[in-house]
Amino acid sequence: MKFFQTILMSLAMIAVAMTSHAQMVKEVNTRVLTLEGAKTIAAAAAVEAQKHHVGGSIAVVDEGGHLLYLERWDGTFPASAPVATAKARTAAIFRFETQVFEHAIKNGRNALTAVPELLPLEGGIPIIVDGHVIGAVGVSGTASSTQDVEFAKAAIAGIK
Amino acid sequence: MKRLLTDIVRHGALACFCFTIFGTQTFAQAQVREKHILTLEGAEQIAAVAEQSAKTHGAKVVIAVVDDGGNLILLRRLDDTQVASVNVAIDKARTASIYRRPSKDFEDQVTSGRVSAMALHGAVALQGGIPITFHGKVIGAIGVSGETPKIDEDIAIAGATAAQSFKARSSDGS
Repeated sequence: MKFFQTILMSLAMIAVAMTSHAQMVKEVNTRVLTLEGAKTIAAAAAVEAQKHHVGGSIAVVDEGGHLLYLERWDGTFPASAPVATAKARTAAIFRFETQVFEHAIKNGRNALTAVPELLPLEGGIPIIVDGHVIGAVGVSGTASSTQDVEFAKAAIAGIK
Repeated sequence: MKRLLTDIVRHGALACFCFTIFGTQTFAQAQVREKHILTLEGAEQIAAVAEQSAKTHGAKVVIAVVDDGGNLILLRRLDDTQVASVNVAIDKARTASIYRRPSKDFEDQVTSGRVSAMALHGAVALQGGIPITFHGKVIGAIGVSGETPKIDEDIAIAGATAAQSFKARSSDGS
């Protein structure tokens, strides 16, 4: 009888353990951006740059804000590369277009300049697939920040 | 005597005149010089060869190409590579470019006791950064990170050799 009780107890504990384990890890069906995908995105922006005869840099980051791909077009000032990267990173980890932050500060919310890892310059746009932010694009160094945004949008349209 | 003095003055004046015309031209030429710069197309060729080498090794790496100022021109992170390798690859590339030598040189220095090599500004003492040269001049560098130091450097060396078939284009596009 005692032996039987022990077995029952063990089975009960295993059952409980399995149930609680199922709650500790959750599988999220989210797409992950590949290098090929990033190259396609950048190529769409490169086409725009050639069309408008301007320079610039484009950065593609993953959902953690880490660089997947970057290219700086010929003749562009070197700082456009880290700026494009920072715009992309901001868009990815805050899950907003960086234009939102630039406008918010312009409208008076200056405290946003103190937020760590936030570059409040327009030109960064999140990449959203199936409702999830899977990465972001950042463009810097074109003829204007407005054009940065245009090229970023063209880049993202390249994956839809 | 008077004839000698006249000759000296005349020759001296001629010498000064020639120096002014030709000498200052020489000085003016020394103020600005030409150099070859790595284009995006060149960086892409380097990265393509490195990517091919990475696939041969089955390696998951980040490939970074910088210009002669150590500034990023191109970066590619192969699928499923650890994210930390992004910054490491850039650091290795910058080191090789601005110090004009493989970044392994500094790792070797540290290993053989010269720990102060780690204090060098803008350098990382890590194997995997290789300069890109054209006609004997360093025009940039490639940095690779993600696998073992030896494999990283092998991939970087493979990429850098692509520069051997580089062609120059003059600034007016011809």
